[in-house]
Amino acid sequence: MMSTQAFALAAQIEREEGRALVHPFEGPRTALGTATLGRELLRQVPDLEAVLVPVGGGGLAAGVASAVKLYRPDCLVIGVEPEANDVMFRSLKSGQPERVPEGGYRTIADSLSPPYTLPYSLELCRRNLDDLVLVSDDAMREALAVMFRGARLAVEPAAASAAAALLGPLRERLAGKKVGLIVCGTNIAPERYVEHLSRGTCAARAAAHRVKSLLVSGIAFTGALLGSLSGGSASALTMPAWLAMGVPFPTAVATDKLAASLWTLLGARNYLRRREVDWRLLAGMVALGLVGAWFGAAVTVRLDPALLKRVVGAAILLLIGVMLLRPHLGAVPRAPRASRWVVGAAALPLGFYEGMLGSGNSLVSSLLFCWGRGYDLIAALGHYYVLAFAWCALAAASYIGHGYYDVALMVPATIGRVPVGTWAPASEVNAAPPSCVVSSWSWAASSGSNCFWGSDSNDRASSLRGPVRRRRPPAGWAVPACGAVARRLLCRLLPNAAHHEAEISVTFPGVPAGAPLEVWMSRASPGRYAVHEFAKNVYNLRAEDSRGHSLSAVPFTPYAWRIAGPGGTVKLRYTLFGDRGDGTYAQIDRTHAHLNAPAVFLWARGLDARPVRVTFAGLPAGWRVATQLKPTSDPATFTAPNLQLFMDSPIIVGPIDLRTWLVTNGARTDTMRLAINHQGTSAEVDRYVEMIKKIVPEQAGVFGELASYDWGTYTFLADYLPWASGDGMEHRNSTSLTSTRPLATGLMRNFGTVAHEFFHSWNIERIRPRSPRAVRLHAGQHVGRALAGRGLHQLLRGAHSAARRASPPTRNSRRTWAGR
Amino acid sequence: MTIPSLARGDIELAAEVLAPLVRETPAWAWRDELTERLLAPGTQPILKLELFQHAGSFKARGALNVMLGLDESALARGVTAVSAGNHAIAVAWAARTLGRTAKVVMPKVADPFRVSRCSRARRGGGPGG
Repeated sequence: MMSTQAFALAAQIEREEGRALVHPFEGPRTALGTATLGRELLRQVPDLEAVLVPVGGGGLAAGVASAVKLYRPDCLVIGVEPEANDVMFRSLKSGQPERVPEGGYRTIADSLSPPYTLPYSLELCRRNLDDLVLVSDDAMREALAVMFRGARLAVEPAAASAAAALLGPLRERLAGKKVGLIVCGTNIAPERYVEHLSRGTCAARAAAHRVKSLLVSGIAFTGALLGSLSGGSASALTMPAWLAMGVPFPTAVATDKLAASLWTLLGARNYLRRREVDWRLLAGMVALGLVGAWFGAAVTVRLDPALLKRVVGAAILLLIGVMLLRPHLGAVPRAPRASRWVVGAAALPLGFYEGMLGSGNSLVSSLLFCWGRGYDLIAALGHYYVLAFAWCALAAASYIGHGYYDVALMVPATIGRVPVGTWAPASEVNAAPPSCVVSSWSWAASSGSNCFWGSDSNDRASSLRGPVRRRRPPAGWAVPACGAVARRLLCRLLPNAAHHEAEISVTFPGVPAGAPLEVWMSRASPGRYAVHEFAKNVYNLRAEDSRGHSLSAVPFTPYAWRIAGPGGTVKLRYTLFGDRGDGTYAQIDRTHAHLNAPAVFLWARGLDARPVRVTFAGLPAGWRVATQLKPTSDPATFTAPNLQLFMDSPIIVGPIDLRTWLVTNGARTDTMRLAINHQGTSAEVDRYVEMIKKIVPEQAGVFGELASYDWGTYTFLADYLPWASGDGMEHRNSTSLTSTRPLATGLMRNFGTVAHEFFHSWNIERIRPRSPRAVRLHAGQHVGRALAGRGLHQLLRGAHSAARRASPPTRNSRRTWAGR
Repeated sequence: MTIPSLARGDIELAAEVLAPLVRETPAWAWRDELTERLLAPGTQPILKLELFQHAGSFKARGALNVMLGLDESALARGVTAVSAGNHAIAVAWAARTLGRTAKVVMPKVADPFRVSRCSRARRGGGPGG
């Protein structure tokens, strides 16, 4: 941000006024000043293992890194520089001070954006920084939002850079370490901060759900599969995988214990259905092993992870070795060689190992049972599964009790093992020859388990929501249907527009007492012949009475709720998600809102005949609302005589460019309007209006006259924004036009849609087959009407011929006609 | 010319001189649901909250230390600095703290909040810059 001219001006002041120049980053005294910061941090936290320091000109990094290396040479010091101004990175690479090209680099971290580096700071950085990493502006925004949401700190982007590095490029490298982050400053204008925060929050939410679920499930699945096929243990693969992912050792064991307890429970259940176990033996072993497992878990929690990793490595290698040897034991039952007491005593070390790690325990236990008690292998494994279920469950509980758990890891890891079992029929167990028994048992162990985990733990809405989970009906719960009451609607578009959310409240006064009030989200939309489950975008639904007491709202279909209550006034509030600006759905963002009423507004069954009033609250200056609804004295409030007309009325909101003109319609004069949200120029809109003005009389000519518009007004509602979706949808007194193409380059193609949709103001809207007029909002559209509508659609060729008639035939003359 | 590294004694001295004038900012163990979800498990981030320093950034330390190194006559003539923000605010603050004047150059594109903080630091006391 700082220009070299600014430095020149300061030099001039220095020369002419004799003022000493205090350099922003260069020089020993500056570095000594910042070194006191590093010293202070180490005195406060003596056992730091790494320090992350933001780097701009390098004054902060030079001092902090020097101090850290003087006082604690073993502590890592890593510089963090904005990717968008990597002048220090380049300087360290080239070994000499580098410059930023004039006006070249811009980053949101303006504090870390010097025009050049200088020798002193560069040299100290070179000597004392262990490494330098780069972070993007987006990563800093995200970190800034994380610091706000997690630590409630409002910092400038530069101060979030260290956190950005720890969340991003250094996440794995510094896993498990005590890391000092220099949060260097907070001087930023509130508006600028809010802008970064809101952009960062979106990214942070996405990151919070960048859950490795799929990967984890895959690993668990593969581990289970390989373990089953080889007769070994799933954890031989999963343990190293979890550790490689940076999971702490006890958490990794806890994850496998939890998964194993499910697995062994299923195995035990399958076995017990067909065969008996020696309960006298098992009862003692379970109890003894539980004690062992408790201590095993306690040891793992306390031991040095580095040592444990070596133990695991050795155990897994040993296990692989044993599996390769494939001992053939337990083909047939034999006489016991050892008493129950002797075999049972082994439960203590087995339980201990199960609690501590457990990899390979099934094999060891099977060998014990086959050898000591003379079981065949199936019986041996059956006994083991009973034991292991108890031991693993206790061990998992113990780890979780110690705080070693990671839901994002445990759930997919447990689920991931399940499908392996679903393929293998349990009957295989009996049919298989003993040499394959180990693997078939593992198959059998999880068969029948597929119904346990049917729910989708990570649906789209929760991934949008981020870590702060809001109550939301499961996917598929929310769409609407039929006839409603909406009497008063209040729509707040802005508070969370950045996340495409609108807060909507609906008041139904005078609800009859007696039956519960049924509220619905529509499943149909005027002019659309498919079922649309608009309820999928509705969540956080609350109901209350006139005094603000909450009422229960129970979904009785996926798209309708019953509101209990004694009648009178019922008020509903809900959040709507919308990020598809087209003729069917809704889009809400910081630039505009495009609302197709059925996709947005709930209604109450039985109250359709009532008038509807809708208000858009809290619109920013310069925004307005355009719709075919009947205007009122308040520019943000509109009414409709009944639900059907309300639902037929799309609404656009934003910094709308509005053009109005009059057309003679028989004896009447009607008002035509173009309301448009776009990024182009006013002149482009004027030209577009001229083109529409020509199409209107042409189409009037096709039918002999213009249709009769309610309130004498017809409105073209256009959102021509790159983030809209291309579409057009006719309505009674308006048409919804969306396109990603700007007028500058997409004039003619956008215009084709205008001609098509306007033609519908007769055809379909007023000339229609004899199917019910009303749109069956709760159940989708009438099929007969839909088919006949398609036939009528052919008439639309008329619209295009009207467009052709309105425009001269040649390309050049068309340009002239379009005013270009 | 070889550049000498900072000496421990010099850092101690600077810390001693600055101690009465700057704040000891907190080092805060940052643990919450969000960090546990986003950071690698077991990582313990410690936030050194230098944003609570005078003038809102670490720049106060360096600026003050530079000005304390000037001799009395130089200090009496005041100081100048060029910065998009934090440094300018820190120099203005340091000048005021020492009862001196500062004239800072800020680019037109500087964050308006920072410009206003600078002028507030100036008006807050001491002779104007």
